[in-house]
Amino acid sequence: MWRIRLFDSLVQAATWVAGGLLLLTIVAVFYYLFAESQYAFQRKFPFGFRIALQPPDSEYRNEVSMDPTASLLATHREGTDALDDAEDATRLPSHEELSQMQALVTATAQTDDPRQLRPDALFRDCMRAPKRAEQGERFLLLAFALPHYTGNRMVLAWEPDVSFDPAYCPYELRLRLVRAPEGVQVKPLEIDLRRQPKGSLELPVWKARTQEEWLQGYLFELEARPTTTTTLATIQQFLMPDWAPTILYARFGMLPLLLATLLITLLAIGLAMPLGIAAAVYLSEQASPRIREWFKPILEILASIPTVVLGYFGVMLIAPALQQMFGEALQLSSGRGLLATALMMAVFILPTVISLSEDALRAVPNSLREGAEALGLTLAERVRLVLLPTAKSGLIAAGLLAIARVMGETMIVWILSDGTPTMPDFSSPAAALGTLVKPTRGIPDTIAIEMGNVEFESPHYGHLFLLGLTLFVLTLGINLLGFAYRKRAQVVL
Amino acid sequence: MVAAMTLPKQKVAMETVELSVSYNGKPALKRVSLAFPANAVTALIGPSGCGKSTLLRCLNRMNDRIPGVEITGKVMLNGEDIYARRVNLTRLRREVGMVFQKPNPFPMSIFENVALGPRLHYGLRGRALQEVVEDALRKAALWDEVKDELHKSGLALSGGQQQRLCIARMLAVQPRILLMDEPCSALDPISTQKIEELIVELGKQYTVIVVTHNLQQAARISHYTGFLMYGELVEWGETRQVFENPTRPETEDYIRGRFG
Amino acid sequence: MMNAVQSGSVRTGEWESLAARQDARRARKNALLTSAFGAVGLATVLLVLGLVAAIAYHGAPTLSWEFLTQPPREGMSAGGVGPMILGSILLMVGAFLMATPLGVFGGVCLAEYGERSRLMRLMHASVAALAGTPPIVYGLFGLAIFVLKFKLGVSLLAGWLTLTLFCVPSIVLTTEAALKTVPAALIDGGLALGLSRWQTLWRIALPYALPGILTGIILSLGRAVGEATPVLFTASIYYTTAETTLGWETLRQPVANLPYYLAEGYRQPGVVPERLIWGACLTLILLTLLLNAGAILIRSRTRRRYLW
Repeated sequence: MWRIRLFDSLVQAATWVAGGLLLLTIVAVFYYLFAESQYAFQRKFPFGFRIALQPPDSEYRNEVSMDPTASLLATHREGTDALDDAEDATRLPSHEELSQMQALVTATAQTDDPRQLRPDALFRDCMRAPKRAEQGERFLLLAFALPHYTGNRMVLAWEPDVSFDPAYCPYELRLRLVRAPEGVQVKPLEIDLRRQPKGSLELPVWKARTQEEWLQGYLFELEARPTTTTTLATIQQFLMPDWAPTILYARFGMLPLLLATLLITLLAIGLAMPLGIAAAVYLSEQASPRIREWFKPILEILASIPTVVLGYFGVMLIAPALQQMFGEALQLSSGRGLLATALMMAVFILPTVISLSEDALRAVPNSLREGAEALGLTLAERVRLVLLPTAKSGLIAAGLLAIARVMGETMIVWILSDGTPTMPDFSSPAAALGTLVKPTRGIPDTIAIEMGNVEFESPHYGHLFLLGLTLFVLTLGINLLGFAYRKRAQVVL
Repeated sequence: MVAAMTLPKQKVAMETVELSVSYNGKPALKRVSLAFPANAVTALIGPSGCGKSTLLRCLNRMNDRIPGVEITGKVMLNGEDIYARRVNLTRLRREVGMVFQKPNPFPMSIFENVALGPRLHYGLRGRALQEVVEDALRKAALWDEVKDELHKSGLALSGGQQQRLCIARMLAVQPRILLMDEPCSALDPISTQKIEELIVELGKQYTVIVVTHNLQQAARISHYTGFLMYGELVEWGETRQVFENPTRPETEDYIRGRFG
Repeated sequence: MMNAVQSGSVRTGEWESLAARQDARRARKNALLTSAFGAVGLATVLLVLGLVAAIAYHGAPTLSWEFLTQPPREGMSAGGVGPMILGSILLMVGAFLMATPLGVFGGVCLAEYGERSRLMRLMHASVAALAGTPPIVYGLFGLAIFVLKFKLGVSLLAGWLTLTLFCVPSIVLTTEAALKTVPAALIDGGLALGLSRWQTLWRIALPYALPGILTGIILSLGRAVGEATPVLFTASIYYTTAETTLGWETLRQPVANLPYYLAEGYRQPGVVPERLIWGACLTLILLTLLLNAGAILIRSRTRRRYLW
């Protein structure tokens, strides 16, 4: 007897332990996705401008970045705060040497205090480590002409550094004239670089006759003033339309990824749902029990084909067909892309949709079927007017479940799309067609691709978790909605 | 056992000829020949499993959908066998309506429940459709109760009202023959009484065939009664005669309550 | 024969002609729609058969004993996928051993206390949501907690734990669903015999629900073995020269596995020849089909047993 009782308590205990572990898992998944996302909020915000003093007819007028005399003022490289005289490459040569090389000069220094500027410690460029959104940054810039300059005008031109987009920088960026040379009359100057990231302005020519006089040239400052907190800036940037985490001025805007994922889901579900429901109607209303016996295992085979294999199948057989169709018109190098992905996604989700829809249809009580039949409704009318409306909740639940599955499916997109993140463009029919057939990148495959070569616990790593969290929250919401609809279907029927 | 029994001076609405049914080889109905008088209420009685529901469901071919069913014999309607090869089922069910044991209104509004049939069958719209719906609901003695809430879900009605809604739904398709499969067995006594009154009323205009396991009910509402046992038609005649003066001992035993 | 009954504004004789006008159109529409449903059903079957046939056609020439047992050679461009198959099976077996008790007892817990308290209802909803959570999220979670926090590294053990988490919710749900199909009469019968609640559960309900539970476990494992994403960051290695032994040290090492082999094979185009990839595809499908066949066998056998 005691053995039975012991056994009983063991079963009971195991049950409780399992229940507890499940709850723990749920909490842990949430907690760790949140916890690891914190690394995203440790990010810093790089920025950089190239500024040059040019003659009005300079060939680099429109491309300051190409101008070899331009100064780069940037915060982009970790560890560059320590950079000083060691980097002689950008140190300005002496007055005599410089006079033989160029006529107009911009110069800067590590310091942001004008009184600490020394004529023998001026540099062409200044690079500092990126800062948090709460920390500002200030660069100084001297601009002057050398004695042999013959022009009667000179122009200060500026431009964001290559690949830097001021929209991805939370600071208020201003270029300000701190001090004009003695005897030169200019109006106070202040330029909002976020509004006017590229531009130029004319200055009266002022020549430095000696190296000591360099310091009396035009003194500008480039100020980055904090406007928001790092947390807010990170979130705000996360919603921007460009994802480029590995470039110097990293951008973490996940909008193109989200839209691609949603677009793929929409197409795949739009294709799979009507087909799936049609097949489910055939199975539950038309097929004989024998056919049904055969059909179910076949569906299970389709459901069990790994997504990696489906992806390959698409690459080897679907993509070439698509390339033949659209390749010439759109100059596609392969048929891989959003449409191929969505097609394969539809194949992937079809068995799930069919079997869930069939369950929903079979949950409709037979009495309703008989009632409709006795009323003289044809099969199509019974399905359309009685069965589908009655099974609505169950069908919606099936659709929601399918949506969540497609949104999170990784390998098919990875293998079959594998493009660069691009915003969908539906502005013209040609653009829309291009969006549909060209490669793109969704949320899950981005995580899978980039997690492989990311530094752990870096902001990029954190952003990948933030992407995962986004996906989790989205699918969680959809799944819970589906769960509610399934419950409702059970209550109604 | 009993040859086709028709009654003199009574028009026949529907007739089965040597009708046999089996499910997966198990016989459920054995060579039943029976004529249903027009514009009268016929009750089919018998112990459970005797085949009375099977017989009823054969009259509008509702048994077709059951897997493993095999039907032989004929069911004559308007001089045609409804089991003949090229019979239009839609048309058959337009003429032969059916109400089930459990009320089964569709999960839509009261109006839609009733309007569904005439809209599909006759293409009625608007005013004409509304009139047909009202007429059907009146005939089912439900109009007064629901006329102000036609948009409410049919499922929100009480059990008895639901059953009358199902009757209205059937009537709106304009059938001539009404099949009722134990229409009161899922209802409370008051609802049952209302439905019984309704059946009596409908019997004046329609051919009504009711399956019931309630003998008193059969006696109260029907003009004719058929008694089935083990899939065979045992006794058939005017209700009073079957109940008061049965010709066969099995009938007598059943009616006296010795089994079933 | 005319309808005997007057109804609404339609005159008695008109019904037949009204109906005749609708009937042909309705029949046409019905024929069209029903054949469309049937066609879609047929197309689905053809799709499945076509898929399997195409993969079998491309993959079969590669399949050989050598391919199934030998490691890759000559910088992955030749040889077989032996270590990948071994790795996939190792991952699956470990996940099976860990996920089964957790999933089954979790399902029992839900079925027994399912609707009782708010906590359990919350748990039910959460498990349902977890079952639909993308595998990539499990991969991330496994990376964060097992690989980094528990310092297991990218290893077989971390892969097991992640796959276990991935499998458990669906096993819980199928177990719960299977237990719900146990007729109340059986339970009452058990209780009436004087068995305790847990004895009834263990000796009557669980055996009855066993086929459903087993099917659920097998299908969930089948999904796990073909899914590359949960083990992508937690257990996978493209190729290792380290011998996969059945010793303890294997637990702390990453393992090669079929889905990851395929994924990487794609990522580095031109390295692994198409021939080998098709072969690996076919092998992976055969592996999952084997599991599925097991599930179908269990179901059909027990269906016969319980047909009374």
